[in-house]
Amino acid sequence: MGVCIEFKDVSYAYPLTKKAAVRHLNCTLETGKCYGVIGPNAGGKTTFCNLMRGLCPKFYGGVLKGEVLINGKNLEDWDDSELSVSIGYVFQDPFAQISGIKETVFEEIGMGMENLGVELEEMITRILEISRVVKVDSLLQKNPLALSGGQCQRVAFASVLALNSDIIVIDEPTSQLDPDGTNDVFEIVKALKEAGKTVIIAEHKMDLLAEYCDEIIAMAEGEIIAKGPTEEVLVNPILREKQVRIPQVVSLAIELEKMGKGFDKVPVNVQEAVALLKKREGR
Amino acid sequence: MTEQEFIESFRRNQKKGNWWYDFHPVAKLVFCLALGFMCLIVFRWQVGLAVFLLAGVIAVMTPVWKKYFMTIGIMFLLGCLFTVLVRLYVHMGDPGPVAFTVFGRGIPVAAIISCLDLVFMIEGFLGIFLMFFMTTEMRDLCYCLERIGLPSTATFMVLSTFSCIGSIKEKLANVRESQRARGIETEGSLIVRVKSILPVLFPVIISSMTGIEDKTLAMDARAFTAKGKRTALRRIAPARPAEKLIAVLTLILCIAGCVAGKMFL
Repeated sequence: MGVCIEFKDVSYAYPLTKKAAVRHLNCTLETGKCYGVIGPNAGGKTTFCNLMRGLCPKFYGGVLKGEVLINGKNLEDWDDSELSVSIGYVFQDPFAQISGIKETVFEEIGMGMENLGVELEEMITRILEISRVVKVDSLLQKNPLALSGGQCQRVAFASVLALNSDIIVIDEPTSQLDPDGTNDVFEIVKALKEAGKTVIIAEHKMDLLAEYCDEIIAMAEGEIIAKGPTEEVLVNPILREKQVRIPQVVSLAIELEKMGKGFDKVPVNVQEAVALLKKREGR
Repeated sequence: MTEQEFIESFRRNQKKGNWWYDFHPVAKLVFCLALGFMCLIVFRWQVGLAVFLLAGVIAVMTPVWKKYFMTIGIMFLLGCLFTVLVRLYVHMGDPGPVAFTVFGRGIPVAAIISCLDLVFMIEGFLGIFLMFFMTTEMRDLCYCLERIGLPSTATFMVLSTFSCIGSIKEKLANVRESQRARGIETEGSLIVRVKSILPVLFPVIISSMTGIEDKTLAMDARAFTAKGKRTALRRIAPARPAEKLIAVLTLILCIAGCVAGKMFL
């Protein structure tokens, strides 16, 4: 798999701040993988996402040191409009992502394609396809401003997916959603993964990240403290040291290990835990 | 509308089935602007009344006539009452031929004519623009303006502003609902209602403005800054020669009307 995003000793400070929000970030992200970005609040997750998307420093200003390479090209050399198509970005607040100028969900999803000059028939086909994937096909005639949080987030996903970006950055998409809405979002993430997209998702819902992500990037105090395959990072003691939340199933397995009743390996999600328990019971 | 009908509606030009509704938005805008500004420039009751009546005749031919007459009726009553009272009071006792007397003081004919000029200037201007806004969708107007070269940023600003008004109204209603739930009086006389709205109006407007940064980022995520040709899902047929002719003729007639009005009225 090729590298699509590379951070080379990246530090970034927002305007009017002395302390850098992220420091000495070094990592590479491979095409087609799903990455979970975890860490406590103010750990640098959103800044990390904003750097990938070019919002830092182009939109927010501030001082960037080091190099962020997107598909081998330095972030500063990217044209804003090209970057907005190459990297789709879904934000935290579902309501803030609605344009407010379109009267139906159908038109809202098509807005990005209108901006890119996509022909009418292709637009209609793509909107219908995407609306089925993100389960908004029953909402197409509704006013986007009259949707619930979960519905809004799905429409925001659809609008970004309509641009057919190869890389999708998702910043805490479930922070304002109920459990059903959260599951819907992760179902979309799964569909994106299956479609071969590179997905970077910053989240606090550790159990779901453990289930869906190929790799985890753990951040604390503006630094990457661990990066690697999900099953390796989530059992890394540094996460507990830095008070990074870990999946409940991992905590349980670690406690069992302390009591001398550990498994052969630490399960990172419920399915793995169930399989290990069955194995232990000889079923 | 079934889903199929809804999708099919994007495959053809938007039509409402009423000649004035379907009048090309830009041609309609030129027509209304010309008439509206003629009222302002000439500032004589004859011109204002003619435009006001023309707006009324157009309204009768549209499905929104009831709403139009109700709104313009209220505007007319309030506008008239206020303007007439102020003007007559200001000119009371002025020299010149007296039309009638009030409390022993003469109301000059010139004051009455001045009242009529002001009232019909306002009503002619408001009438034609009310008709325009009640029968034209802003998104259609913006689409047509974009087609003739207006930057998409400008049309977005127009549409956002209109949608912002709606969202402020909605937020205000939500806040008033919350106030009512806490036992604060929000219904009743005009004074009670104004008293309940005023303290929250400013915070609501400010909170609407704080979403601008998010909206900018959201637009960026929709390739709003992309260069090159744009397309549109919702399309309007180009202006027909007859519509262009009406717009141009109205413009010429209004310019001539302004000159003539200033010279002879």
